[in-house]
Amino acid sequence: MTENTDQVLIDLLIKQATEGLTDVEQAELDRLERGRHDNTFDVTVSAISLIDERGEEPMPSHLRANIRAAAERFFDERKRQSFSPLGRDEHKPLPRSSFPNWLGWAVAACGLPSSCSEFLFHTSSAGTGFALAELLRPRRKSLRSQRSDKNSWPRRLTCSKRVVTKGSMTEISDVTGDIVWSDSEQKGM
Amino acid sequence: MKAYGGLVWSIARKMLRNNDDAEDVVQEVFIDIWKNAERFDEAQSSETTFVAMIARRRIIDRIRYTSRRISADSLEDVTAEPWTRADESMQISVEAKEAAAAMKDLRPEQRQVLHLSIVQGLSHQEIADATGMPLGTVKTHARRGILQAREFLGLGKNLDEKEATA
Repeated sequence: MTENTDQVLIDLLIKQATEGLTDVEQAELDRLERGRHDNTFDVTVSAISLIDERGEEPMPSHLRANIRAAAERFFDERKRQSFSPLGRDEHKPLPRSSFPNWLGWAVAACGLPSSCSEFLFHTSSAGTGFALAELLRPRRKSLRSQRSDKNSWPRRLTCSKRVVTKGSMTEISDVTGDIVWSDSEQKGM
Repeated sequence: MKAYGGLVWSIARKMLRNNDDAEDVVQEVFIDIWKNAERFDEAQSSETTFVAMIARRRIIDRIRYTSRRISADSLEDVTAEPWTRADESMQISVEAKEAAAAMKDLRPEQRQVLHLSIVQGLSHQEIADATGMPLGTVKTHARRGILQAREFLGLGKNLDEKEATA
């Protein structure tokens, strides 16, 4: 991408965030972005718009009531759709389950406990410090730390490009032969 | 709605001024928020900014659709007191605080252009007409101000990363 195209892209992104684009401009932006989407200008402009914003003016009560009613309709509809796998066509009869289908589910159900126990055994005995509880615990990071993580991606990716091959590490360049693990020969921890 | 009702209503009133338009658009904004809730990315923005972003997009669509724009209240007020309350105990959004800090480094004309453009909802051409600045100057002020705030928010690297991968 040339510098000039970059300038046009930035101008279009700024215009999109501040005053909106015409159809022609939107098509040009789509072409320049090539499927990628940059909403950093939207976020920036929204942040600036919030500088002096406190939402001090209360929403009129009739509007609040209208939105509450719209919310009930929206979430009822969504709940109906999530409970019904057929979506709106709820009266369509479900296909009858055949014996092979039933057998497949039964085999899967029988295998589930053993798969779970095997997973737990491996994770706890491998000594990697990996615990199921840790896996399931939701991890929330602050906005700032997530941003700094995001910024460090390219550096981490660059580091991971270092490939260890025979002769590529000076410390082990003179080591020859195969590596064989032996419990009897192991020393120390 | 309890948390962001006042915010969305306030943004709509400020940008549209017409109560009927604002009421219509606020309902649409909330439906958009419910539909797009899954897209919220905590790493990119706070909840408040996300809600404000959806509200602004919808309102801009409405403005474009109706081809109506509000007029600036008083250009002198804008120039004299741009976002003074942000220096107080503004708790509305972490990005807004960062943006306010970035604004301090801008030149008064840049702050004025950003206020008229982002808060008052004027187009660049309307700002040029209202302030007497050439259109190119208005665009330059807007571009520099937004780029600087974007850098300050830590969002500025995205485009550069994309450039590198393109």
